[in-house]
Amino acid sequence: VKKSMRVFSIKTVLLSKSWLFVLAFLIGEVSANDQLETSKKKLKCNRGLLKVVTVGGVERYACVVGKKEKESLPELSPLNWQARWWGRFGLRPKGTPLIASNRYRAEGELDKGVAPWTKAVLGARITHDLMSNIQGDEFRDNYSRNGKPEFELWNAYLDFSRTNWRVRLGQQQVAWGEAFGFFYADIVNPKDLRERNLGKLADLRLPIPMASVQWSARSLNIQGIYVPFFRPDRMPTQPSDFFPESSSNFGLPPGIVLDTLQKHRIDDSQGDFGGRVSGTLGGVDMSVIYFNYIDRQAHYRPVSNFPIGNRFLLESHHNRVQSSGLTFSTELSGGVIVRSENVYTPKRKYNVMSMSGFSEDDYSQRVHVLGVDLPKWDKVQFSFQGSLDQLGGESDTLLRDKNVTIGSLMFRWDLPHDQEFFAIASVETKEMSSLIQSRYLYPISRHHEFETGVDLFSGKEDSFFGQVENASRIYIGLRGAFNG
Amino acid sequence: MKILITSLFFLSFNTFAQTAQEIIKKSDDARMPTGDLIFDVWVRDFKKRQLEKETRYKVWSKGTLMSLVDTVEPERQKGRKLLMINDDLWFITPDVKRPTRVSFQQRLTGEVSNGDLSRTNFSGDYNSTILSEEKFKGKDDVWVLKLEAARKGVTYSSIKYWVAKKGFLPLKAEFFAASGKLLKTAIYSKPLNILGAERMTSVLIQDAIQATNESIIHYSNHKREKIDESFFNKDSLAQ
Repeated sequence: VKKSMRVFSIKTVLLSKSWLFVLAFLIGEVSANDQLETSKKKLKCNRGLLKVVTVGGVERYACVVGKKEKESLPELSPLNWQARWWGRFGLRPKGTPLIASNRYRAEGELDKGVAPWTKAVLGARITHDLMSNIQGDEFRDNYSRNGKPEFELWNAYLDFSRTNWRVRLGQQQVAWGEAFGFFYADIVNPKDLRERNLGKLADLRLPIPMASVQWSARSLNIQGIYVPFFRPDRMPTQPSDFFPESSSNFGLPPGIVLDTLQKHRIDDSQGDFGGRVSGTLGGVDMSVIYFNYIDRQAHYRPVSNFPIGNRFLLESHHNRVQSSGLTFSTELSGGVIVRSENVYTPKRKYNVMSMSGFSEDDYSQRVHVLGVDLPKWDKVQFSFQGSLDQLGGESDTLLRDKNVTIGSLMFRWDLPHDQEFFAIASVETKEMSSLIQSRYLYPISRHHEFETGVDLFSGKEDSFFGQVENASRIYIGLRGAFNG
Repeated sequence: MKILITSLFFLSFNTFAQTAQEIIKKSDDARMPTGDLIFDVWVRDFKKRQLEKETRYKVWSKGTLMSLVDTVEPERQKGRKLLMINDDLWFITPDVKRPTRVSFQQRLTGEVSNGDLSRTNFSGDYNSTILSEEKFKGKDDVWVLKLEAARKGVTYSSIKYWVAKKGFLPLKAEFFAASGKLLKTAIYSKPLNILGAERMTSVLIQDAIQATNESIIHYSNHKREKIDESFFNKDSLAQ
């Protein structure tokens, strides 16, 4: 029976593509566990091409020895588009007067195959922030976007992907790390921190022009990146509620406002490079990262030793730093997921107040993050995360504490009819300042959802979260998404 | 004639002497073809018999150890993906653009767990024994099998599984937690000829406590298409 099956199978193969093969023979049935089986069979079929053929309804491996099939060019992927819009109507109850902060955003992305194995992606968005007091008088100049619509080119790149290689050229995001809510190992792209870390991480991570080359095998991924041009984090400026009320730290007299110039000076030539080796071994995701870059965050130098008008102006400076790190995540028994990030950045500059006045000093920064995701209990899930951000240096820093420890609790509840509620409570342990973010989503249709939530900062005036207490808000919003 | 008799003898002997593992293997194939495959999944969640949610997914599957489940509808959730490679599972969301490790047991939607969609073979994950042979609903001859998790991390701790002797079609499964508590029941139905063999195309999953809470998974549009292994790369898919 076996012999007749084999003869039949060989005939089937030879007849189907007779000009192609010199010899074909079967080396076993395709089992359910066929990934492992494939590797075994490949060893047996070292002189030929391993193919799967169907014989009498049963899939079998055939080792085909002879002329190889010419690889045909793949079809170009069709045009895909996504469009999203979002309107948010917020109220800041802690400021005086009561401030309404509304945001309107429309964004879109196209992708299409432009050559074999290559697709082009083009995305853009426009955001309009409108601030007014509760009586409706509009403030056009006191917000991050100056009351004008802000157009941003978002993802815009060419993506070439073939076999184990992927090359991506253009404006893009590269996300590293395992943490939620904050950026720690996620160091490649600059961040839009004009509203601190409020919002989705992918919305805050600013795409920048870069070249990314990835080689991947099944459980191993090696990525190299090169960023030709520097772009800093976007920080809040006066008089945004997100600009920290920390002028008292500088010993400035009352009435003098601390402000930063929009101009950024870099203390080195441009060109960032780095890479990441990541893999999964024995159920543990691990990655090692290294990045040599112009620091996205600034240290400041005074424009003059005296206030100009009522403003004490600072200039943003950026020096070259090198960060290296290790991340991992794994599943423990019972569906418990453990995540960790550890990043070391030596010689990072922070501002200090020394005998000679306002200056800067080098610090070694160590960040350790440990998170635990508990298994979903019915429709409820809890996650915990603790982070320790330490600066090793002699003197106290001006704009932040040397050690910042944040504990976060995330709660997610899947409600009936696809409603969703989630909340993140983060506490900075030294001053016990806190940030509570909660959001409730109600789907209106396949395309639209209603949202409402709060972002509540609290704590002492100069504490980690408390310094932007006036930026606390409650909001309602509407989101729409369309694809084609 | 001699050959025919011998062949028939071996064939009949084979049918009667199916080991539990062989039955599970063939029944896996009757649920989902192996090899490179793309298909659509439509999940309807019912609460107290009322339709609560509909979700559509597109699934890319390579063998039984690699799959990508991509949310297609509702459009506001488009881009949420579940990626399985061997015994590892990640959730990728456009909000973060980074893979997050999740467990197979975690609920995906309604009564459906991540593992119910991303992992469709029992034979690689469970050790099985035949409990009995009986008539299912007084009609089909079936094997009743007991499946025990072969290692930690699989979707269920144990499964009681009814497989029809004709065509190795799965008919029913009861899924248990490690404590022995019945979690949910699956009823397989709507056999159709898919890629050259009869396979079940619909699964009704009912909550063990609230039987009126149920999800119906419907599989369709199966296509064989070569999928490169590198497609299933969590870092590429996320970014």
